[in-house]
Amino acid sequence: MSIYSQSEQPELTLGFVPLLDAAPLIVAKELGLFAAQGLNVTLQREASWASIRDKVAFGVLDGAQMIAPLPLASSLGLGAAAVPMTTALVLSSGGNAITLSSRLMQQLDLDPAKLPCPLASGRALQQHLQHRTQLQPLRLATVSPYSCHHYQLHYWLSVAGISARQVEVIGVAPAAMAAQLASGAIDGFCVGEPWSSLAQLNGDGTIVTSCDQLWHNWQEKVFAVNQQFADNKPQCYLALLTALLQACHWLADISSNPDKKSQLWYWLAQGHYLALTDSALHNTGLSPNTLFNKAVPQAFFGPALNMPWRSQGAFMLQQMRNLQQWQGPLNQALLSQVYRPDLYRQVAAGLGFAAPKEDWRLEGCAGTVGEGSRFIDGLVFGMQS
Amino acid sequence: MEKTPLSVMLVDDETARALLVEQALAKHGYQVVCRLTSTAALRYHVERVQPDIIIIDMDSPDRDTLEHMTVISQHNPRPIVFFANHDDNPDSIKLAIQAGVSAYIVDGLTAKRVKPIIDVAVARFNEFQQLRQQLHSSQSQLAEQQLVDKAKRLLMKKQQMDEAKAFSTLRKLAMDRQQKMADVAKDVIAILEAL
Repeated sequence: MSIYSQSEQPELTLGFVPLLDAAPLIVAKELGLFAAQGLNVTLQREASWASIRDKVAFGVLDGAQMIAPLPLASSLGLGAAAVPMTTALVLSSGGNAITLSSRLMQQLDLDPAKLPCPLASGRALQQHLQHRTQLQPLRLATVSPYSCHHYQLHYWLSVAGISARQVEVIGVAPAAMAAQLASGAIDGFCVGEPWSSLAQLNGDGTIVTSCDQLWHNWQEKVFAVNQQFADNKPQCYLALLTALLQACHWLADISSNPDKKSQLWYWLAQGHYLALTDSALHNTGLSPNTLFNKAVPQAFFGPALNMPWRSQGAFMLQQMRNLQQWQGPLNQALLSQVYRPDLYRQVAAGLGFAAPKEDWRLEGCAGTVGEGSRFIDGLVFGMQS
Repeated sequence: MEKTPLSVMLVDDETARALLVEQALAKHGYQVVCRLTSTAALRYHVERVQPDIIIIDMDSPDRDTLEHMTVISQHNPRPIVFFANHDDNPDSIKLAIQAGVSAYIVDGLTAKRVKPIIDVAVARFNEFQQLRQQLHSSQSQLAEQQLVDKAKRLLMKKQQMDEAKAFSTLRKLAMDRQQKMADVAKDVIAILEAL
């Protein structure tokens, strides 16, 4: 008795990258939320965002956790052949942070115990760069050129008056960040949890700002599929979205609920997920209690949080233009294809959750449903729909 | 058409697989200029060697490093998926992804010149996968045989059976319980050793 038409095989493979914010996919699988929708889902761990992108593009994966700007970049053909991708669900907000090496912290004369606000630490870096005597450029790492991490790092530099030309920004996979910082190959990085906390616990660096302080209430990971999948298997797609939104809801009180934290820790610890106990994460003091670092806020559920705002998509496009990754216009037809708030509303309504009625909002000020977003420099970003 | 052989850089932490690919490429007249198993200094080596094409294990986390390089400079290699639209056979890229091969190519190279190299790599990756599966299954066959032998010896020693009787006892148990000989052997060993 399947609700799916014969052409819609409910056997699906979804990809994830081992990060704390892979939690919604793992919870949906382990709590049996996919199964309750009649879906047989296999989760497949991937080592890089490039791998996730290629496998979703060529149908080797049916869908995946993605860094929020990736479906846009893929649809535009940035960094790879253009393959239209789409999202109707934001899986998480926050979780990224900027970490500087202990050596650089000394050079900036910043005391890890008395950290100034991100604007002041940025200013200290700007002063350092003006008087820097080393021949080697300051080298910072992010995970992908089409990630919030990349844009948030540049935003922090930019509000501190540092031009992108004054530093070298390279790409390093999340799991390799801490080791590169420890070896001195890079001077700082922007990465998702738990990798920032790990570097700090190891004493290799200091978290100078969470990205939530830079862009508050911002989409971080989304669930994305190939447009072809969304068109050919609409029932499967809706069922996937329903299970994932339920998982996000389960995670709503994760930072204050010790039982859930222990449960999640147990799941994440397994070898085929994050392998918490037999990887670099072991013996660093990371435990169920410290799984979510208060200094790096992270959230999975909220009436406005899970909504794929087209206005946030427009802001991402603007970042791509600022960094010369994209020269085209703020293309509304593209944003309407990539971001599907209408589908999100349908899924939320089916579960009895409130959802914003608007597809667009002013970014950087109080919203109509839940809290709005906020930029550290007080920017307000708006576009007429 | 240019005749100079294309230079290839191989990045793979499976040393045996990388050797297979290198030998096959050399046989086809391609030059492997650099083979890396550890990718700690990947950027340095790419800049130093400036290969025409980089073949890298799909599951290497260092792909994100390469992706970043493709953005910074037009001279840096671009991912093979760029060429998907120019390929006569659109499935070939999917086959490469499934085999675990990804590749980065210097801008300006035509898909035609690159395709044979990718095909060689895909074939060797698949061959390696098969070898590994064969090795795995022959290892487990060996382990199963050892279990059956041990159960037989215990039956002979503790139940005073001859070898033929011990074997037929195990086989009958396996047929009755619709289990594999090795599973039955495991149970028999557990029981007889506990006696």
